Amino acid sequence: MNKDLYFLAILADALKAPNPKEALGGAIEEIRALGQTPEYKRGFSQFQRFMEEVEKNWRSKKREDIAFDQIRRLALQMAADLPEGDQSETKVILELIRSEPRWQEEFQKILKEMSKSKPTDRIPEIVLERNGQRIASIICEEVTKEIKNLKPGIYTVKIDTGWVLWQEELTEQDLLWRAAFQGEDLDLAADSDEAQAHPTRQVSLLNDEVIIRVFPGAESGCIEISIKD
Amino acid sequence: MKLIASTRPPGNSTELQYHKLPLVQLIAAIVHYSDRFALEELHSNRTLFSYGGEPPLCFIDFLNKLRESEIRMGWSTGNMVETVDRAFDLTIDKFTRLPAEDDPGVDCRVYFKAFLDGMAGGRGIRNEAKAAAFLQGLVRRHFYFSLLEAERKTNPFWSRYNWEVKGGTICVWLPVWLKGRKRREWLEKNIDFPNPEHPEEQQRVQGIINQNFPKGGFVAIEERGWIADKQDHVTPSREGESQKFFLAETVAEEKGRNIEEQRLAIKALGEKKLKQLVLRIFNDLKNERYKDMEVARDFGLTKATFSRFAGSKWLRGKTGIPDLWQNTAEVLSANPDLKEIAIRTGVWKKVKATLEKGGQDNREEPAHE
Repeated sequence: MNKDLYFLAILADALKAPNPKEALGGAIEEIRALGQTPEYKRGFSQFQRFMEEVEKNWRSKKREDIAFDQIRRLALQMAADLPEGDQSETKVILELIRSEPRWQEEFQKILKEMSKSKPTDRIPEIVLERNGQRIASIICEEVTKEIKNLKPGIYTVKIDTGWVLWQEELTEQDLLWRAAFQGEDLDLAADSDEAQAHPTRQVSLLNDEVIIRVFPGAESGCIEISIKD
Repeated sequence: MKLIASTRPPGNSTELQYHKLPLVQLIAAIVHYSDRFALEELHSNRTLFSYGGEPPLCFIDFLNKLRESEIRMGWSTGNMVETVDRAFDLTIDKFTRLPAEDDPGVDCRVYFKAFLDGMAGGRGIRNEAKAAAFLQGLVRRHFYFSLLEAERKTNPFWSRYNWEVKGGTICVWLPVWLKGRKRREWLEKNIDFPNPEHPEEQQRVQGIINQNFPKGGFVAIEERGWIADKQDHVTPSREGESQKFFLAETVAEEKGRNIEEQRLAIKALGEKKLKQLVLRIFNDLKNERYKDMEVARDFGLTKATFSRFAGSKWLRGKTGIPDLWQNTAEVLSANPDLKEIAIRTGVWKKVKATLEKGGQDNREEPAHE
């Protein structure tokens, strides 16, 4: 056996054992026992020097890892609205973050990533669907919008959060002038202001916050959605 | 499993159109009537959550985004994916699980009640958006809280404790070294006005515990000893998790991968030959026939080059530990089994003593056990 590096062979063997942890316990004992004999004395000193090197690496890795995880944990605690741990600990972490640009960068990166999931004050949209397919959407501000060229089908008006405000089947009687107002002059009425005065349906929702009106046309109908802010 | 009877809100119950219920009413049906149809409507059809400017998402898709985001950012210790997945599952339970009579467990009504308690009155579209944002904040907060909780579960230095107080139970995590009745005493002394009925009580109590026992407590390392103590975060190494580790092969791979960083003569060997050299050295050590000069000759290296690379007598040398052994030490420093055993057997203490004493003299005369 190479008496200067005897510990390496022993460690390598133990790490390959079926139960490395148990084998390592035995390996350390073996290294120590051999180290007490004169011929392995230098090898044992080298083992100690070697373990110093292992420790230095571990310490350096540990410092990086702990710093990284503590920064993450602080960000998580902030996101979970939890008390931010021991105040002195928080201070140390914040000092660490301030002390090095890379930790500042890391902290900012984490906060930026987490901010993606923060609820926003976005203005919802009203969505119009025909037979389950989205055909139009309107931002919920005070506005009136007409959606034209509508054919018979199941129509749904909902908020983009999924809340259905209105759902009805619209037939030819709702959407085509000749079916809705039999006997009335199609060309005159459909192309004049008079048509606007003759919705086939009018629905008021949410205490008049949303008003839906359906108008018939010559070839297709139209839905007018009015939103009151 | 016997499920808690699901009821429906009174009124035209069989015809109740869940899709037409605003969020607050839908959640009220879950909380007050354990209404599974309302729960299904909420999770299947409501796209209440926003993420990074993307189109609105349903609960599970939002949670997936949170999960992916955490995995993307990564944790450096422990089994990160397992921890995030555990947090993911915990959060799902918190917002989907109606308990059974014989299996109480997590109850989503508790968390939805917190939503109802936090929502003031109001109607209309703006209020619906406000409610959606409020629920998103609640889910997000519980995901991060679950993540901290899941992370704690993977930490062998903390364990669960069911604190029975005021006719209820508050389940918390405490350091393992705080044992037996000391746990109750500590909680009684430090937690004011515990209320097991309150939906957020566990979080409040855990928060106070965290303040007092910071997990893995960060302190400037250069100012502290590094021997594991009760607060050190040693990578968990549980029964059955100890794995075989092929040192020679790992070091050979590492060397080969970092060939560009090697000294010129070693780099000139090329990746394949360098790996062969490393494996040969370890093999010769194992077979008790390692002779520096023989290996150096076989690989066409000079005595000086080989000595700096993998010399066997370096204690007295001016060049320090040869590259290969330094690299081996680096590889071994990541092995949790060795670390645990070294701590347990007191090897670290000896090393630390050596480090503290410092000086070459001390290295020349090792302190035998």
